[in-house]
Amino acid sequence: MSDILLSIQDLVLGLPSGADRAHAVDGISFDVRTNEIVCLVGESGSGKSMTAHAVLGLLPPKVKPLAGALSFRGRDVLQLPPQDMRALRGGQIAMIFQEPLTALNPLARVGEQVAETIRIHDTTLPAAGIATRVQELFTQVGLPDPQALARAYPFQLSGGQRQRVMIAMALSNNPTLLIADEPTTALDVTTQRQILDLIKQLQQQRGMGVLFITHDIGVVADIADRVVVLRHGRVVEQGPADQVLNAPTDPYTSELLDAVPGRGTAAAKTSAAAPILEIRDLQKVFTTRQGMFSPVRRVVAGQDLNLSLATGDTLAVVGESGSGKSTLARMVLRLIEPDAGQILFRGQDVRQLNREGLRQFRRRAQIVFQDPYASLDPRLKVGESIMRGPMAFGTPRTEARSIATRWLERVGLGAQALERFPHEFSGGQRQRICIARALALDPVLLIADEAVSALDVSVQAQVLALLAELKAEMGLSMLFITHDLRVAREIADRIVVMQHGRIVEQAPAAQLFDAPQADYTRRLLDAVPGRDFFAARTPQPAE
Amino acid sequence: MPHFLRTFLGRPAGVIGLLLLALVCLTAVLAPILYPASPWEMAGVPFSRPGENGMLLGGDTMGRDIAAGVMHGARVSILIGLASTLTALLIGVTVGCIAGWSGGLVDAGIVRFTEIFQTIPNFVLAILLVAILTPSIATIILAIGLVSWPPLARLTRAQVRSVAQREFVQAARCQGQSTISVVLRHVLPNAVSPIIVMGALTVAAAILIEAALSFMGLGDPNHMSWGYMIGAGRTVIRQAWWMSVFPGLAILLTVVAINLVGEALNDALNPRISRA
Repeated sequence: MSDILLSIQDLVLGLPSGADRAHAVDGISFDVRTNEIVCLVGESGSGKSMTAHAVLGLLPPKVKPLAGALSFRGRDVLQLPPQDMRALRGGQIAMIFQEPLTALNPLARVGEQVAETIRIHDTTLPAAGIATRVQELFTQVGLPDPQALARAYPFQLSGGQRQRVMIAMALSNNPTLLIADEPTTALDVTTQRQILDLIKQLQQQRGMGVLFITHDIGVVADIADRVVVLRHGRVVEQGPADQVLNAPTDPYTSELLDAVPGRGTAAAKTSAAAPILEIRDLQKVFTTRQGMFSPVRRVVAGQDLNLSLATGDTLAVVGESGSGKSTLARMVLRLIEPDAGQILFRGQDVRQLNREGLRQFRRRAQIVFQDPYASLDPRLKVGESIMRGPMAFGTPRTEARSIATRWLERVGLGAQALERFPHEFSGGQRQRICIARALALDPVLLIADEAVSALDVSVQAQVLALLAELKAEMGLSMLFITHDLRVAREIADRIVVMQHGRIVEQAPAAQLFDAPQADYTRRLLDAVPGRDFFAARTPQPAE
Repeated sequence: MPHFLRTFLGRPAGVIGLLLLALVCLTAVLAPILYPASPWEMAGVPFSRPGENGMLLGGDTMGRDIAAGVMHGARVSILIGLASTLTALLIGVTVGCIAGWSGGLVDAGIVRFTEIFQTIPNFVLAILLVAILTPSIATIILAIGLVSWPPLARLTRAQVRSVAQREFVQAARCQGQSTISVVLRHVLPNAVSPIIVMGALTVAAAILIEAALSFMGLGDPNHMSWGYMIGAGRTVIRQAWWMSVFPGLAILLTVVAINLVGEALNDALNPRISRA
């Protein structure tokens, strides 16, 4: 039996009055032992990050621990005086954050930032010794050319490299407990895979205890030794990973497992319908000039893009960040002007349209954006946002209002949503509003630009189901942009895989998953978190 | 709105500023009632000390009542402060909106043009304009408005540019709304908070410029103003401090009040602070 490192007992964290509930976490208990990875899994608002921040005494000013104990190696962390807490932070307990770009100081070299962490905790070490330690750490976390990279600034590194620097910083004082707060959520899948492997490997080498916070049950399946499932600030289930994942006792855990997209069979039908949208040799290069004399930076966002979407089909465009998939979606609507090529909508070139033609085309082709928080005007009532569309095409106000009401009811929000403001709704509800806004114009083509990426899995599943339903009902064709192959598998008939602005593979969904042709597609498929676990789970009869 | 009001009134700066500003406005309103006679007319013995000869704040070199001058001066200062700021807002917001929304060459052209204005010292340009146009309330307002718009234009441009990138604006374009409607109904309302704050501060700056112009004798000769009074009392400040100190205090209080209100507005209009 290994030692208990961190023990949390009946912890209650109070939220300020006016929050959606009284306690961020309400009586949770669990332990983290040496040499194990405990995954704290839950959807947004479940209190998982608050718990992690409580361990390090990093709670927001208005959140207070009200009851319970939180002890690290037998010492009560909640009662610790500030200077002892500082010694603990970054020493015995280290943390990795979600967004490595904002967690690193943009104005300091990364090597210096790691060195600083060492210097603070060990004032006796000479400068040369510190420099050697930094080199060792960078080598350990697998950064190429540690000598040169130590002199780089955060913005010069890729997302994966930055997260490696963060891990090096966390490991710099040989912590016994590592807290990782969604460390791979902001990363691409292939990078996520590498970082997960790295954390697992380092944990085993050093025998550390790791408290790993995530919303992705696929990640849990890949790395967890033990799992704690949180919901609304309470532990609904905890136990060894095998047991919780394979034989969940709580219905919520099963629900989470079942909500993970991409477990059904991929669509195998091939459509013979005429294409509604055809893209031919589309090109786009972004050029940015930093100064008058510096060379122009060129980013290829689209090169020789050719694809076609058959009427009534769903075409998924899959790629990692920077692959040009969102640019493609925006080019179709001419929110971004392409450099060359053709976009044919029912045979007519969208690039040749005049102002009025473009307005009519945009009515037929609507878009739902990724971020449901950014895509609704915060100062307009929801009903007003939806009504403006039909009204711009001459529908009288009263009629526009009844259209808005009908759509809000159709997406499951009801007419009372009309008079409310966007901030009164949750992410999933807002995305439903965005869908209602798009469909109120009665389009034939719907472009979904990462429309479910910002949502929790259970909400994601509901929104995907709604989209599929509406699509069948209205005979919509859909261009679905996503970074998540699991989502693509759930919804797409055909899939296009993009990398660095080029299409590397396109095939019917079933074919792409069963027999991927391109190397890159195979790498993407392998990197999907929890792939083996869910592959083993799939044979169970789906309900 | 309750959030807005609660935060505004929750700041001591906002409450104090508002009270001071109310006092200044009250002074302006009461001036013709308390001192119905023209502030230019002789009311007593020249060089009367404060309290002598029935003059509360004393008399100036010509025997005019300082208290009457200060109260009537408030009217001019407030009028010029507000009217010239409105002029500056009208020019600045329009220009900034066009630049920020159009981008490209139009934007570059407008930014260069704005920079030309910014390289000329405000006050020198204002003196020049008033001197050419002959001093009167209207020309002073115009001159101050013409030198105050560039910072507002630049702020508006930056705001519009960042709001225009946001997805709800793109969504509005995709809904088929016209450009004018997108800019006026979606972009501007979401960009306006810092512009309002800066507008408040511009009022304070405008009052200072007006005072400085009158100090130099470029004020409207038909209206008593604080700057003129300080200018007139300047030569005898050693013998008769009250002639320049009271109008000076009036300027100080007004400008401080407006700045306090601006600061509280800044917090109240910032959703991150007011909703916290």
